[in-house]
Order: sequence, then C-alpha cells, then structure tokens
Amino acid sequence: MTSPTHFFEVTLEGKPSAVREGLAHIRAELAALGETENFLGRLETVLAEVLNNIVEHAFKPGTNGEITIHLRKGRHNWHIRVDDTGNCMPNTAVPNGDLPSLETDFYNLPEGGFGWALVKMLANQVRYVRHEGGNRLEFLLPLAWDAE
Amino acid sequence: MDLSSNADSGTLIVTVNEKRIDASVAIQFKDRMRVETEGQDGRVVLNLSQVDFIDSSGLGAIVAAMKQLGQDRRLELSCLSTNVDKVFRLTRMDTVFNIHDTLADALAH
Repeated sequence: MTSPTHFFEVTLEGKPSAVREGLAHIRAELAALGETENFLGRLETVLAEVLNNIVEHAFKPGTNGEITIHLRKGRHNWHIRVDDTGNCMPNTAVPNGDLPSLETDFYNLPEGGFGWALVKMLANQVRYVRHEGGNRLEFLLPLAWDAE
Repeated sequence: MDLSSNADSGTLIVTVNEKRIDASVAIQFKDRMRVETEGQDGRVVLNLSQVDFIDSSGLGAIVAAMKQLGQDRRLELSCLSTNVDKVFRLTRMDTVFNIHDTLADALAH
C-alpha cells in the first residue's frame, strides 16, 4: 500500500500579519490531512521562526517582499521549501543554531537568539542556498519525533 | 494585546487574553505588562492558559517583562499549554522561570 502524496504551496507577503495568516492556513491544511497536534505544533514553531526571520532580516524596511512555501509529504517527513525574494543571509549560511547561554546574571538573560536553535532542534537536513536572486531554505520535518 | 490583571492575597495575576504571543505582538506585550504591573508590588504570576502558541520573539518579550519587573519581584508563569511548554523546555527557559501547572498551585506557593 502506498500512502497518498500531498503537495501544496502558499505565497504570502513579507510582513508579520501575513505570516500569522499563512501559518494559520498551513496549520489548517495539514490538520485536515490528519496530522497530529504534536506535529502541527512543531511545524508551526519551525515555520514561524523561519518566516519571522525572513520578514525581519531579509527584507529592507518599507519594501514588499514575497515568500513562497512549498510543502510535500513523504513517507516519514514533510519536505518543506521556503523561497523568498530578500537579501542574502550573512555569510550565505544558516546560523549555527547554538542556544544562547543562560549562565549569566539576571539582567543579561537573553531576549533573543532562540530562533535558529529551535529550527535546528525540530527540523532535519536544514539547507540554505542563494537561488535566482533570492533565498531558498529547505528542511525535513519528521512525522514522528523521538524527543518526547 | 489584551491583558487583564487581578490581585489575590498579595499576588498579582496577569492573564493573557490572547491565543498567541508572537513576533507581531511581542513589543505590545512588553508594554502592556509594564502598564499592568506598575504602581504595585508583590509577586507577579502570568496566566498563560489561553495562549496556545509562542515563538522566540514572544519568549524574548516574556524575558524582557521579567527584567522590567526587576530581580526583587520575579515573574512566575502558570498554565502553559503543551506547545508553549515545549518552547520553554527546548530553550531551557524552564530553568529560568518558576512555572506552575495551575493558578491554584501558583497561589499556594
């Protein structure tokens, strides 16, 4: 028996309110396909970090960027590709994704730097390339997650 | 960003009446927390029972709100949903905050 292949694509404007709507739309689509709450939670966390990062860093303030998210279901993973029309990632690479240190005094506790760490903890095979003048990020999101 | 608060035997409970604390409301959240908590003292418990999603910007805003209150008036958390709790655990932020399962637990401490 072969499992059905699901594929769909969402394009949204590069602004925070559009990210919110896009995430809700993707979550609803995958929920309708019967994905678990556990999976949907991981998906939303990873996609939110990736999309917020694009909106905050890849697009110059005041410019209209566009983001396209392709999702395809495989046997063990959803294969996700995110293309945007924005500026290059620093060093043309994904940040290393280390968690910020909490070994610090109260007023120096980190208020950021968690995003890529969350992506790398929850997604596999995260790959980034410059593609046709924009950015392309690809990763796998496993249907089952052992870490819980 | 809809927050409301009430005092219960010396503890200020601030309730987030929203489903999400994300990048689009993180700054508003921090500002609203200042409004809800200023002019009072005593401990503050943030009731997250209605929140089903938090991203790293929302997490950062909660850390910022904690610092805003200062070291003598720590911010505690209660009623984390499965997804919110996961973000705190993965980032180890569960080691920074005192987290209570229920409001009753928070008030009993």
